[in-house]
Amino acid sequence: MLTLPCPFCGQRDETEFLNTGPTKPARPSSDVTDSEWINWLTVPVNPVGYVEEKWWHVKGCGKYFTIKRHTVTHQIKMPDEDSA
Amino acid sequence: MGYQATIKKQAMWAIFDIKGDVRVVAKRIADVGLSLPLSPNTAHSKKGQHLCWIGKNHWLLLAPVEMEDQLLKRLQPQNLAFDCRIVHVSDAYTLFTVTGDHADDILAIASPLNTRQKNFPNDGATFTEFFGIRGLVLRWPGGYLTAVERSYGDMITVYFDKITTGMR
Amino acid sequence: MTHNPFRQKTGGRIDRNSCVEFEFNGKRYSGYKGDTLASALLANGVFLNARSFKYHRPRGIMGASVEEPSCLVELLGADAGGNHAATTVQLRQGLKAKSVNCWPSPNFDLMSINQLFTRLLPAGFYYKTFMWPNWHLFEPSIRRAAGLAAAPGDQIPYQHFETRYWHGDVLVVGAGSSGLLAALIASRSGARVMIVDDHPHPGGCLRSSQSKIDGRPVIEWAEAVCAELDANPEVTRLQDATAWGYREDNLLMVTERSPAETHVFQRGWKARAGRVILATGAIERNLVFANNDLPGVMLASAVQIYYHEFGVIPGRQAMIFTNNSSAYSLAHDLQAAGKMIAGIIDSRSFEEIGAEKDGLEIPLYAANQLKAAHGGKHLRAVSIRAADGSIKRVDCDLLAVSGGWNPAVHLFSQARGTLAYDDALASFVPDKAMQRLACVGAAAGKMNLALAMANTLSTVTTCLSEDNFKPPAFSLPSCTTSPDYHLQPLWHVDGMKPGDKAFVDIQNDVTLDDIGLAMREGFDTVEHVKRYTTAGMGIDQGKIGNINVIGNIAMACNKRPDEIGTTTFRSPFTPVDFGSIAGQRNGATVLPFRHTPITQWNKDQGAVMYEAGARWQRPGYFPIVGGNMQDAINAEAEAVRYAVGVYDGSPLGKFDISGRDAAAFIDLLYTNDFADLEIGMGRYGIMLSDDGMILDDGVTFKLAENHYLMSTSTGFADVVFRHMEYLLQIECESWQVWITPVTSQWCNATICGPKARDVLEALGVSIDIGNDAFPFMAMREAIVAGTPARICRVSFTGEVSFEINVWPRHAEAMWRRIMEIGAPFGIVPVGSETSHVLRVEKGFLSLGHEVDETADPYDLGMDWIMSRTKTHAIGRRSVDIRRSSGKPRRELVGLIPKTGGELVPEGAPVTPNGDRAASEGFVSACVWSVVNKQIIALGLLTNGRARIGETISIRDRERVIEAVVTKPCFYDPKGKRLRG
Repeated sequence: MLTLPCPFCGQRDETEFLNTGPTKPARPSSDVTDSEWINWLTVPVNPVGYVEEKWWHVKGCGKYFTIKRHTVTHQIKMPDEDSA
Repeated sequence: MGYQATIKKQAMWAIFDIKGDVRVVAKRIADVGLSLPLSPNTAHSKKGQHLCWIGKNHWLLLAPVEMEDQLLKRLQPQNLAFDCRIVHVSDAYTLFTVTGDHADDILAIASPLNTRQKNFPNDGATFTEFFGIRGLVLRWPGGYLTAVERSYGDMITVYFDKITTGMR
Repeated sequence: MTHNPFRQKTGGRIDRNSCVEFEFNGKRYSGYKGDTLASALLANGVFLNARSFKYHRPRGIMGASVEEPSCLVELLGADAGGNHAATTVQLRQGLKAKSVNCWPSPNFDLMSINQLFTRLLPAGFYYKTFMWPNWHLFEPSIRRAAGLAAAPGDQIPYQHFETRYWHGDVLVVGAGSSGLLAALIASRSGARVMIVDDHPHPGGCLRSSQSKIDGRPVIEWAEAVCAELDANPEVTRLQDATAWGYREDNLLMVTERSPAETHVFQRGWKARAGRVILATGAIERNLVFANNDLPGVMLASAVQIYYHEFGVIPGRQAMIFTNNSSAYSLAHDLQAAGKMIAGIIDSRSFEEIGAEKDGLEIPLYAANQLKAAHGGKHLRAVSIRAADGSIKRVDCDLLAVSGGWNPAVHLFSQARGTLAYDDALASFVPDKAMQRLACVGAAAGKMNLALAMANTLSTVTTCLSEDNFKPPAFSLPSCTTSPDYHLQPLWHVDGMKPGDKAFVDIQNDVTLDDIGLAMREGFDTVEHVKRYTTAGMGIDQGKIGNINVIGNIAMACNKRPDEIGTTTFRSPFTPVDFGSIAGQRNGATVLPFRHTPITQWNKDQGAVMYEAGARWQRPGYFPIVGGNMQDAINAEAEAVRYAVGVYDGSPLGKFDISGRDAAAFIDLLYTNDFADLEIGMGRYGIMLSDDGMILDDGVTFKLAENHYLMSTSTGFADVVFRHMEYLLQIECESWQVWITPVTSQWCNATICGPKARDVLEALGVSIDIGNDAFPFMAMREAIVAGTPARICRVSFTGEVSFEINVWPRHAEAMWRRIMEIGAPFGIVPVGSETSHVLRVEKGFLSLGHEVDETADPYDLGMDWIMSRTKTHAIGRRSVDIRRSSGKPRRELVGLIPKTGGELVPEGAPVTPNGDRAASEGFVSACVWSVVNKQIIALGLLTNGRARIGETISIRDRERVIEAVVTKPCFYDPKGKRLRG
C-alpha cells in the first residue's frame, strides 16, 4: 500500500485517495477532426515505467493532484522530477 | 479488559463550510471574531469555536449550537455578494468525542492518520479516512473529536461498540 | 496426572505446575502451560500425526516453528481456524485440533491407498490425467481428497478481530539476538520502535543455545533487553506476532495472535516505519535421501528446541545426519543430558570437520552419507553409506537432519530486494534493498553469534544516523565464541535409485524423481518446475526444501544455483486468518451503510429494509397483514395513484453550486440548455461522460444568479461529485465555482398522489400552493407545519408531488406530522419497490436499469434534451460522432410480456425468435402495473422505436416468453397528472 504526497496534506495513506487515471492531454478544441477527438478520448498512455497520473484526495482535503508513478516498482516522483 | 476510552455521540453543533480566496475569507471571518489558522490541517480555536483549515481555499467552522442563530445572521450563508461561499451544514455531520487513556488506540483502529505530534500537532484538524469513510479528526482535551457525514453516524456507532466490547 | 513419556524429568521452560488438557483427533491428552501443540504431542509420544498431501504417507512433526511442513491442523471450537502448523499453535486449556489431510485418522487413513498408485501420480498428473472433457469436472473431488482445512464456522461471542495502524521510526522484525540488539540501539536513540517476533517468547535461537553474553546465559541478556524496551513508552513489543507481508513504502502486515486485551481474538497491524530492520534469522533446511519424510525424521534445530524449550526428546536412540557444523551442538546437548546417541553422519570429510566435534564421545561417520531411512509408520533404522560404498544399518528412532541454513529473506524479497548466491553458505543472501530497510544477523548471512551482533551494531548505527537520529555510544556485549559455521553443499545423497521416495518438498509430496521428470519434459526454469510439480507451494511455501529444488535443478543442468535463481517470495510468510486482515469489517459492518433520520421510524413500522444505492438503507416495502410482498407493493402503488403516499427521498444527492462561473459550469455539464432557467425554477437535465454515455440525470434548481441546487440520483452522487471536481480542478482551473455536498443537510418527505395538495394544505403551509402560484418544477421556501422548509414540485411518480425538504433535526417530527395529518386522506408510506413500479408505469429512467453506461439520450428517446445550440457540453461530440455512423442502436421500448402472471427477470435477453443466439436487447425492468392490471416491462431493443407493435422473444433460461413492443410509457403519456 502506497503513501502519496498530497500537496496540501503531505504524505498520506493510499486508502484516502482515488487514482483517476493517467493525465490526459488538454481537451481538444471543437475544430479537431473526428479521429483526433477519438484518439484523445480512447488512447491512454500505458508505459512500462513512469506514468503521470491524477489522484484525488477524496477522503482528505479534496485536492486533485499530479504525480508520476512507476508502473513496475510503484516509485513515486513529482511531475517536475526527472523520470530516469 | 477492554479499552479505557469514553466515546460520546455529540448533540448538535453549528457548522459552516467556507470556501474562497484566503484574503476574502479572512475578512469575512474577522466579522465573527475569528482568525484563520496559519498551517494546513490545523484549527484555530477560540471560545468553543474551532475554525479548521481543511483544504486549499476550504475551511470548516465548528461552534456550539447555541451560537447557530447568531452565526447565521453574521455569516449570511444566503448572501452571495461576498465573493466567497459559506454554506450552513450543521445537520450534515454527526460528531463523536473519543477520550481516555486509550483514545490513541481507538483512533489507530479507525484511521490511517499518523497522529504523532510532529505530524499532527496539538491544534491538528484534518479530513482523513475514518472506518473506511471520510471523516474529520481534531484533537480534543484527552483525545479526539471526530465528525462524519450524518448518514454514516449509526454505522460509526456500531464500529465503536464493536471495537470497545468485542461484539461481532 | 500428566503422562508424558517423552518429557524429561527436568528442564524446559514449560510451567510444570500447570497441566493443560487438550484434544487431538478426538483423543484427550495433557501437556503443560508453555507447550505448543507440537511439543505436547511429541511429549505424549504421538509421532504419527499427519498424512501427506498427495500419497497420504504417514508423517510426523519435522520442525519446531513456521518451517513445519507436515503437521497441519484445523482448530475447533473457540480457537476456530484452519491450516495452522501444530508447531505454531500455543497449547490452551481445552484446545481441540484435528489433522487436516486424513480421514478418519492419521493412523488409519483410507486415502493412503494412493500410496499403491504412486506410479500413477507423478509430477503434473493433474494436467495429464484430467484433461477430458474438462478439468473442472474433476476439480471438486480432487480438492476434497487433497483437502486442507475447512473454513471455521464457529464464532467467539465476545471476541473479535481488530485491525489497526502503527506509525513509527524503526520496525524490527525478529527478537533474536540481532533483533533485540537493533531495537535496543534504536530505542536508546529516541526513535519510536516496534519489534515483532513470531514466537511467544523473545530470544530466537538463543533460547536453545549454550552461548553466553557478557558472561551470563543468553536468555538472561534477552530478558534484560526486553525489560528495558518494555519500560520505554515509545517501544511496542509484540510476541506471538508474525510480520507476514512487506508492502510499498515500508508498510508491514503483522498478525498478533495473543493480544493482551481479552476482547480481541487476533489483531492485524498495518505498521509503517521510516526504517525496517529485518532480523528474521535463518531457517534450517532438509536433506534429500530415501524416506526422508518418515515420522521420526526431524530438523536438528527442532530437536534442540524441543529439548531446551519444552524438556522433550522425541526418541530413545538418536542419529544425526548433517553436511555442516551447526548440528554438532545438538550432539553436545544430548551427550550432556546423558541421552543415547547412535552417532553423527557427516557428509564432509574428516579434515573439513572443525572444533565442533571436540569433546564428543559418540561414533562420527565422517565422509559418510545416509542412504535411506527405514520403518513403516515410524523410523526404526537408517542405512549409512561409507565413502567406499559399503552399507551399514543402525537402529534409531529419531533422526536429526541438518542441511545447513538459509537466511530468511522472505520479507526482504517481498520488498523487491535482490538476492545473491553465497558459495560459503550455499544459499541466497540479501543483495540490493529496494526500500528503506536493512538485514542484520543471520538474515544477512552472519551465522555466528559474535559476528551477527557486530554486524547488527554497525548496520543499525549507520541506518539511524542516516535517518537523523543520534545513536548512543554502545559497546558490544562480549559473546562466547562458537565454532565457525562451515558447510559442504549436498543437494541429494549419492546412489539414489528411481522410485526412491526422497522428498524435496515434504508438504506437497514432491520427490527428486518429480523434479527429474519435469526437467525431462522440458520444464527447465525454476518457476516452471514449481508450477509443474507444485514444489514450494502450499502453506509452508517450501521453507525447508526450496533450496534443494534449486540445487538439484542446478546440478542436473550443470549450472550454478544463482543461474537458476529463486521463485518469487510471496506474502503471506505464514498462513494468516482472513479475519486479521478484515478486522472489524464483518457482520453488521461488512459493508458500509447509511441511514436517514426516518430509518428508525421505518424499522419500527416493520419495513423490509435493504440497500438502494450508495449504501443507503431504505424501506423496500411495508408488509401488510394477510398479504404477500406483491400485495403490499400493490397497496402502496394504488395509494399513490388514487389517494396519497409519502416516501423518504433524503438519499438523493444534493449539491450547492455557486460562484461567478456557476451558470457556465451548469451549462457545460448538462446536454440541455439552462441559460433561460428562471430563479425559483428547476429543470430536468442529463449529463454525459466524455464518451457520450449518460452519467446521471436529475433536477437542478436555480436559487439565485449563479447559485444552484443540483440533485443527482442516489447511486451516482459520488460519481457526479468526482466528475465535477475533476473538471473544476483540472480543466477549468481559472473558473470560480464552489461546490458543497449538502445531501445530508436536507431531508425530504415527498408527498405524492392526487390528494398531495390537500395533505400539504392540512399540514399548514405559509404560501399559496395552487397550481398557478406554485407550478410544476418550481421551488419555494415556506413554513410547513411550523417548520422552515424548501418545497419542490418534482415528480418521480407521475403524480402531483411536493418534496418537503427540512433540516434533519426536524425530519422525524415532520414525518410523524405528515403521517398524522395525512391519515384521513389515506396516506401510506411508500418503499422503493413501489417507487420502481410507479416510474416504470411512467417510463421514467432509472440509473442502473435503462441507463447502464451504454445508452445515450437518443437511445432513450430523449432527442429533446440535446440542445440545438449548445455543442460544447461534455460528451456531446462523442454522441454526434457515434450517431453519424448510422449503425443500429438499442432503443428504449415498452414491453407487454405474455407470461402466466409471473414477472420476467430483469436483464433477461431478447433474441431473434427466442433462439440461442446473440441478443438484440434485454429487459431492464418488469413490474405488475396497478393502473393497467397487467405485467409491463421496459427494455432496450435494437431499432426498437421502429418495431412498436411487433412481437419479440425474451429468453428466461430455457423458457421463451413472447412480448409485444409498445411505447415506453404506460400511464398518462401527456403528463397532465403530474402538472396538475
